[in-house]
Amino acid sequence: MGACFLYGNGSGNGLNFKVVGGTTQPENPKENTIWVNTDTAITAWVFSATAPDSPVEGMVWFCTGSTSSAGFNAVKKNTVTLCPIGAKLYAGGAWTEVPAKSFLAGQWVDWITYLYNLGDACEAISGGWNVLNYSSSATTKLSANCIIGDYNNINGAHAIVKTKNKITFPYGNFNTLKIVTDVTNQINASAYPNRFGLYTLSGINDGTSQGFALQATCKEIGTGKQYSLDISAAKGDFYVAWLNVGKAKVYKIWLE
Amino acid sequence: MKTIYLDSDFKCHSFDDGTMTSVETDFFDGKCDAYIEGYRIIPAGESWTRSDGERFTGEMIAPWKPWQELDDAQREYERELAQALSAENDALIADMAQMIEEVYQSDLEMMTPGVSEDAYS
Repeated sequence: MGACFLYGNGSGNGLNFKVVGGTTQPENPKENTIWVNTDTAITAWVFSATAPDSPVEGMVWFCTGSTSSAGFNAVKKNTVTLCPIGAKLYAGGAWTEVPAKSFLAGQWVDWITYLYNLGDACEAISGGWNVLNYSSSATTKLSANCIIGDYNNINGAHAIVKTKNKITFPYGNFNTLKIVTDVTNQINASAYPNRFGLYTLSGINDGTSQGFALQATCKEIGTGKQYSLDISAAKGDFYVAWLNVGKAKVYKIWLE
Repeated sequence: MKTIYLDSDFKCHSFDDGTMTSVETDFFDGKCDAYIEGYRIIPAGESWTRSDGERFTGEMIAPWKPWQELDDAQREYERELAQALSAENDALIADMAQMIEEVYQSDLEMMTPGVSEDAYS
């Protein structure tokens, strides 16, 4: 049902869901409530796999895919399954991504697919995560809340943390891989920055880009830094991997 | 480390047409031109916005052509390289064999003047 197209500007008769905008998560939502986290008034919405041709100010485009963490039946009678994988708001003449969630089976569900989330290894897709330390001085590990990489020595200390499964891309209609990380320090960041991306080796690399088919560096010192990687042309089987050199933590890795 | 040239859309090229920006990277070491030219590099400090509005900041290296297609081209390039090396190796071995044969024949000629040194003793 990836190409499904549905337009509206309210809950409407016959529809099995409601779109709510606002910066506060709605209280006591009904099943299939869609919450768009925005302070802009929503004037219309569209479910479509492709961007609407004639957007209007305040329109929300719910991008649909073939699979979703938040698939639902959109109509009260019959079955029209929609698989939302992202929301964008048309404001100021441009589409801007906005966070959205669905209230399904009594809980709020994100429209993304996590590969790692605050200590959850998300084994259904990742198969779990391998920590491959390059040297005995390595202390990289999975913890209850994050992946912790900690190297203070100078030479050759790095680790690859990667999914146990090779994942076939494209995966659903997701086209972006994202990571949230804290970086405390980097050892020779120009030559050996932290990286994340799609990786082809089953073992550890030499601390460079070796083995990465796609990569983005994530070396900025600071907390809660988010980085994105364009995976729209990633066609093939890959591990998802994070290369740590220095002291850093990873909280989330996910597909959007 | 290779020098790659970027056009205005951050797509990689092996040769500069005079309008491009050069970047140094080890990402493409050993890679063929067809592989390199299917990629996009967003250098550190730069950003690029995809057609759907998603913005990416550098440094990012990702293909804009289907990766499997690029990998196939790279594998073909490596196969051809291996065949060329093998042919070169065969030619070297043949040259060495020829050289040994020539030395052997030369030695033979020196050792068989018709009369051995013992004849003068």
